Amino acid sequence: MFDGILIVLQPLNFFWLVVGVGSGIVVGAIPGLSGAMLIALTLPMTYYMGNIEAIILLIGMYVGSITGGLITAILFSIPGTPSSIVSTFDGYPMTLSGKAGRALGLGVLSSFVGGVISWAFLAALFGPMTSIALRFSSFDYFAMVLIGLALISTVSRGSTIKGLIGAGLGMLAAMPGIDPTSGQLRFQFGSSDMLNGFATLPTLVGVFAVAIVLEAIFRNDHAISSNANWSQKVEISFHDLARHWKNLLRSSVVGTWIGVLPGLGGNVGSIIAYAFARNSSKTPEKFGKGCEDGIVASEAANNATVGGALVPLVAMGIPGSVIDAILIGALMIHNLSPGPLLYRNAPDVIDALIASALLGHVVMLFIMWFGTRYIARLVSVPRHYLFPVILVFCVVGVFSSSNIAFDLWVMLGFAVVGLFFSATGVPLGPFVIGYILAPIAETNLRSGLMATGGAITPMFTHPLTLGLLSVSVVVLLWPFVSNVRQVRRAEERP
Amino acid sequence: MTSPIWKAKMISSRSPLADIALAIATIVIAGIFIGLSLDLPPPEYEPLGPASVPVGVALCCDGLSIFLLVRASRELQRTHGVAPLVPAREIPGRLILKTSAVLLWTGLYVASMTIVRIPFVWSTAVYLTALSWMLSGFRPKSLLVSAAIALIVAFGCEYVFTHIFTTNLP
Repeated sequence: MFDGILIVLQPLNFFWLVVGVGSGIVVGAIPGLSGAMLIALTLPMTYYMGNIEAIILLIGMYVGSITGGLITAILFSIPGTPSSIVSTFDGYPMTLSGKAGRALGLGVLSSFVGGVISWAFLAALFGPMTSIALRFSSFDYFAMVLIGLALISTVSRGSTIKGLIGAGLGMLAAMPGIDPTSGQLRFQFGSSDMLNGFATLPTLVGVFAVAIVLEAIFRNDHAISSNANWSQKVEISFHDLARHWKNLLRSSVVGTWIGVLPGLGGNVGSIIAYAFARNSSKTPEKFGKGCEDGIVASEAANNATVGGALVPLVAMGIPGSVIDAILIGALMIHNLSPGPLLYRNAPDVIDALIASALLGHVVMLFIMWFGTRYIARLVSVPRHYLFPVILVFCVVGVFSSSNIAFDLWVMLGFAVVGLFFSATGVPLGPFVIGYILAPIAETNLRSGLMATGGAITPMFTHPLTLGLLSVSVVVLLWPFVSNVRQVRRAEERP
Repeated sequence: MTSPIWKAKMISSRSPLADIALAIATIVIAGIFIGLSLDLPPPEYEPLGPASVPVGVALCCDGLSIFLLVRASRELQRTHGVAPLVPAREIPGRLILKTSAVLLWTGLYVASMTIVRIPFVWSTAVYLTALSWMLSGFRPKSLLVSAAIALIVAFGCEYVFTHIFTTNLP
């Protein structure tokens, strides 16, 4: 662990951490842009960096983007990222009553504490979980993937059916190319360019960067005019740690465990932590009207999901969130196979990753403390200058990583797919997680069946596998069961 | 058809036309994968082979899409076919046109470099200037600023990527 901290504190690596956190905060603060988009856009640029530098940069962006959303959430009631939606409930009313600096200070401090507590869980858990994961059978991995797909499909915005369709289409998008088990070429559609299928980078950039820019243009997003009245500094007081310690601890633990569950992310963590905080408050009626506890709960939880989501990523190679799915893409680009053996094969990379999750939050604290008033002005950059530049970086980034013109058309094709999903209400998260997890699911299912000579019964007789499969079935069926109960209750009412 | 289970499943679709479009697209895509899977060889050394998992996923997608199609069709029947494409919101035609124009212009930008072989700097400068100006609503004042930003980004990218990262540009 200390080795990792020493690695990150090396001058060049620390520089990349600061760049990552800073750019993540700026992008997270701009509504319509997201951390997923920034990380997807940066992936091609990291191709020419060392493994450790690339991971430090991307983790810095992850931390920064989760936090940056609170700036516009509190100042303008427009969440910069989905994970800051809940911060608008109480943050903006505080701004309206002249307490913007206080609200931002609480948000920043809570984000820091949430991130540090989840880092402690990450540092403590990844070792034991890696040991457990090494004992997982192929069928266990297959079942874990099913849980991830089921979770992301049921909790993403929109209906469960559409989430499942998105996940299924993502899995199909990963199938063309070389079959991972037999080496057979499949689904080339008669084109030699499809020998390797739809490459990871252009797919992710197309869906997360280009499609989101096009969607923002479609929604006619305009730049936010800067709040000329806000000239206060961010008021951070460490006395708040004592005043809000219960809420901070509870929300951080909630966020960490939500992050651990494959497929969920900061927005789910912040919603659940906010609900807990309101239910356990002596003055729940104050929530939604400028209550400090609301901001503390939301921001502590959403940053805590960062460390939590990294636990399954580091231990098992299964993404804890959509951004983690993109981070898996980053590992693969740098010839690092995600999974429990990663720590054995590249311990310095994992140490640096874990240390970045901690030091990233320290850097975030300082940047937000002193830089928020300037970042708030950056947010008002006109979209008609910003979006075309982002599109150019998408094109340059995708081409520079592979030198294949076909990848640019793949990127545009998936941008159309992303736009179509947006128009029809299909969430992007399941699609991306389905795309990333499909090879893992298929390989493990087929390996398991090879090991058992084609017998599928061990999947239902081995306790762990049966337990994991049962969880995925429950998660999938719960929304439908809940609907049936609602209809029955509505019918029973006079 | 009147049991709570069926009623719960048939929670009304809020955007039936979009659901129908999604269902049809998914059925077509899944059908293509199933069709292409028929040409794959049968399994030799393992039970499943290269076709089984794609076919399984495609069939699941088809099943979900058929459910979505039935639900959306019932909603359309219920509302006598007057459900909006997107609930509670009209989409101005100009926004659809603008988004399509951006996509087309980006496609032309990619084609200009990869097919016509126009150098990166000039393709990018023209692309950025025209796109920024279009997104600003063709305001005369923003044309100069767009052009200036375009030249800085085009030449800047070329220098950074070819001299610092030493990579190829389109």
